[in-house]
Amino acid sequence: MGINASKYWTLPLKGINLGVQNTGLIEVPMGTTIRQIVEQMGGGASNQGKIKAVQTGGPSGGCIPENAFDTAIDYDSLKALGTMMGSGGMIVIDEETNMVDMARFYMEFCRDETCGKCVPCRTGTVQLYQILNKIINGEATQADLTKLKQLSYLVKATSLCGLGQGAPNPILSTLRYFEDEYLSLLK
Amino acid sequence: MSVKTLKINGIDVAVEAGTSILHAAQETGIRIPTLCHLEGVSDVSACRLCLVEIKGSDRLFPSCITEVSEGMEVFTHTEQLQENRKMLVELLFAEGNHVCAVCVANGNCELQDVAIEVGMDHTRFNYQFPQRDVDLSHPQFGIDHNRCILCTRCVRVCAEIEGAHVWDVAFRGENAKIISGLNQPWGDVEACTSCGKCVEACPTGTIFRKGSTTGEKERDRTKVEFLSLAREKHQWTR
Amino acid sequence: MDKIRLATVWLAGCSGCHMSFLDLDEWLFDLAAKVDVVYSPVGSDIKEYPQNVDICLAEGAVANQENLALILQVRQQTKFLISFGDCAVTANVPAMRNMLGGSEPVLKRCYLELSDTSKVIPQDSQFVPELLEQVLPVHNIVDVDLFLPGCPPSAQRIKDALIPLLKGEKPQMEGRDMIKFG
Repeated sequence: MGINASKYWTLPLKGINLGVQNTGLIEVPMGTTIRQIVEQMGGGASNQGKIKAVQTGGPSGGCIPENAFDTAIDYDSLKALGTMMGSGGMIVIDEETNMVDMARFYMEFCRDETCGKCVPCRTGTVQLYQILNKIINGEATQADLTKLKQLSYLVKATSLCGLGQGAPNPILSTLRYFEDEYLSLLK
Repeated sequence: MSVKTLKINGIDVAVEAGTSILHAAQETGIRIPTLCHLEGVSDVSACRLCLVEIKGSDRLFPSCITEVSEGMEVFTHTEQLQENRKMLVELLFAEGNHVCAVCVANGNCELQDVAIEVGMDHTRFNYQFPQRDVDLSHPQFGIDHNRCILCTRCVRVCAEIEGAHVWDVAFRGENAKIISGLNQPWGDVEACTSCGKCVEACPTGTIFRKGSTTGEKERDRTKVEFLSLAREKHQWTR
Repeated sequence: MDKIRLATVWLAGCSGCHMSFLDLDEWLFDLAAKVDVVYSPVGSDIKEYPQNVDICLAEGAVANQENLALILQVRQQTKFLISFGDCAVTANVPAMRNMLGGSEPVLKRCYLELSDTSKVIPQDSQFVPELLEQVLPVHNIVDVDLFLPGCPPSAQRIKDALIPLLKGEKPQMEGRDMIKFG
């Protein structure tokens, strides 16, 4: 069991490309499902579109695909899905959003936020960001994708603090659930 | 003195409590690569090359700052660790402008040595070719930031041994940079005593004696180690 | 048995690696017994890179359009490509121009600011190949099968890499004697 000290989860609910209809700060009991939050409290998709995932835990967290929305939220279930409670934020992502682009957005943030003390986080975030750019520009090959995975594991395993250890999470979790979006961008 | 017994790569080791895994391994004859560790000054565990595995944990531990404990089982050279080290060195080579062929430290460089040790024959990462400065304002020494790996040995040896604290780190991330004084030219920093400890401590050719050319930076590590450890070992008698 | 078809090419480098190759001295006779040198600035007088090359030693970084066209052709027509020396492996000294930030500032610095008399940037790409924006190591352009670092790699190192290759084995690239840069 993880820490269950908090019985309620206060979360800022946001959407990319409008995402859900209702956004804002909500407080829900632990054990609420993601679907309840997104569809009942969030009011579902805002632009006739379909919601494909949510991102939890901020830039060091990960995404949860629509088919896992019935998961009851607590610290352990989020961890099992490859993400975390983290900052408590939830960002709802609709189909219009490309997941590789989203991973790049978070990596850019981590690249700018790294302090530069340890090698993997200082230089690894720069390289990860550049590989993601290469993929999005349609210039990358399977070898680049392999390098992206290897480097993600390196930065996660060898960084000095939580920033570096968490920085590759958006890549690893989008690769876990949306690898096809990466593959479709390869040369 | 209390003694801790542990296993490093299957070898039984007994060392004084409080010893770091890095030192315990050294005593056992196992060399763990490192670039930021320097005998006699504090450790910062920044280079991440000395990371080791400890049985019972899925985390990696920096051996320079992790103390031994009773019954610990340490692995220093697993396949994964070796691959990690190789990638870390590749990242360092891609990050700066490391042109061994024209460097004062060629043949006498710890970065070059570690590259050989981890078996790196090329980097798979993109060279960044950063635009960095060379400061030659000091009458005796120069600093070429192109070759800097930000190990901060110069910062620590100057602050902790010489007590002058000329060096520090400014800016962040990929823009992090070693600065002298308040980011002034080195020659303008009055606190500098020109003792040269930073030259000896620098693992690469970043800080060098003026007038030395390719491959001419000689290194007498025993000198800086004597200076760093003499007080502890009571070798200073007067 | 057919002889091994060996080529060497010279991109953006100082030709020091080729000089080191020539330093193999009398072993070159042993080598000549086993290989046909089908293309090389120091070993043949053939102008077009041939088809079906078995092993190619590529010296130098990729710095201009001519280097780029040649290395792409080399990769297509070669079974086993070796990055030969630090310039090929790391881009080394030729890449020090990258720190000026692109080809334009380099040309200005070289032909305008530092020129004593005729201050003109050469334009005719028929005679002077156009510079690439950045000088890059060979493996950033094409796949490389073996890295042979050194500035230059010593004759002994070249020999120790070639001997296993001539027998169809991959050399052990490890230790100071084989992979030290510089």
